[in-house]
Amino acid sequence: VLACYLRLIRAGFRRYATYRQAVIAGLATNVVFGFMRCAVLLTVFAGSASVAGYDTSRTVSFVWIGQGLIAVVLIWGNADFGQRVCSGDIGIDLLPPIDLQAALLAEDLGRAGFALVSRFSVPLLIGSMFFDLTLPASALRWAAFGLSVLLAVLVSFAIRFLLNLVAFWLLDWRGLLSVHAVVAGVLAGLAIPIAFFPGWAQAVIWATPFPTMLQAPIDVAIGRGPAGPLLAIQLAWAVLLLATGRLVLARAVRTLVIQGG
Amino acid sequence: VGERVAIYRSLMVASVRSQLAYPTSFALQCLAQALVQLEDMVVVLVLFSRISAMGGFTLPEVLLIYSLAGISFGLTDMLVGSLDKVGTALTVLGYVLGHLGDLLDARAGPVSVFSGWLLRLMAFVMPGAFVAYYPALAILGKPDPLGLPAILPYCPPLVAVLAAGVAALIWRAGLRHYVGTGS
Repeated sequence: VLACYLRLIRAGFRRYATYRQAVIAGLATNVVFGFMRCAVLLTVFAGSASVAGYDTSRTVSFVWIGQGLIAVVLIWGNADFGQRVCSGDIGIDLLPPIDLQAALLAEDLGRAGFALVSRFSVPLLIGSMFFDLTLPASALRWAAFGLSVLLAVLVSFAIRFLLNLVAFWLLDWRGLLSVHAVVAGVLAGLAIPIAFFPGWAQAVIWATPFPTMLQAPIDVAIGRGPAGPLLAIQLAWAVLLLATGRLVLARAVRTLVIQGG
Repeated sequence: VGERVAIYRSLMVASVRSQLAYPTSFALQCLAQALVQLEDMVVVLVLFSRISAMGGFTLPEVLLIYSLAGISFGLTDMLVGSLDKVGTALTVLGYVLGHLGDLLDARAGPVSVFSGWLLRLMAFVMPGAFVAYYPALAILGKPDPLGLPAILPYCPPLVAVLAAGVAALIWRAGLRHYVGTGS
């Protein structure tokens, strides 16, 4: 059974490796926006050496690691699975004797793996050519960052899985995906560091799972505080959201009616 | 002409009807659009809670640039539709351009490496600056902090015609190269 999931991981990796033009277009966008976000955020440092615990080096690192992680955690979501629900293809997915959620997760891990070597590494490399980035200082920090990215992918998958499950109830669930895409970016810490927000807003944002997808791995990488608590929050959200996904899937399958054709 | 207007009218009605077929989704799409506008403003406000001016622009001035961009894209989307993705990208470009003046203050360090080409890219290759930045300068009667010619704030209509011309050419080239899959 394990070999089956390993093959699904590899299939996910290879599936996304096929679209080279999409990778190049995505990279170009991520890199151009990286420069623009640096330009905007650096204006904050007009007169001061550090803002909310960020110096200029940590701020540009925040931008470039964030730009690299966009594709790894698919911060704006995707609709692949929901479309299979709408088209009825989901019936085929439910037939094989493997767990649907685990199978989709395996494929998504493969996808994230490819994104890591293509969409994450290049912006980071370009960013480090133009700026003085703050990156993990020790092998242990790098390992913690790797674990943090893995947990971020798990949380991101769990949220996307839940959103797409809504397609079982709503025939057109894209409105929900749009709202998520808008909200997730800012709450995950894509626009500005969450530490720039007023204290009360920070508390609200950290009470949602969104920062665990982006801000948490970035904080682990640039060394804002110890990695342990951040990893613990990520793990808690990953377990909670994956478990919720299982429950909702079980209910969703009971509502499912597939017409022959 | 009347016949063509009728065709466009029925196309618009069909588009609205198809969106209204799923009311929940339609309401959520509307909410998402409103949130997009709100979100950018929140980012500007949060940044200004840490600083008092950005590239020579105060908070009300940045909000003017931002709202001009928002109104432009809203109107464009309503009139010619379905360009929302282009619109969003350009809104961001226009917004960022409002802050680029800061890069010219001979900032020490690596930023100066890209300020020159990035600036030219934004102002002239992708004409985002003409959507909101230059109109805002014209309204405010403010000299261009980037030190570009004083006539530019009055050029947006000309640029709009040029951009529409380029878009029409690309559309025609696309049509010529189009091969249907014949599904």
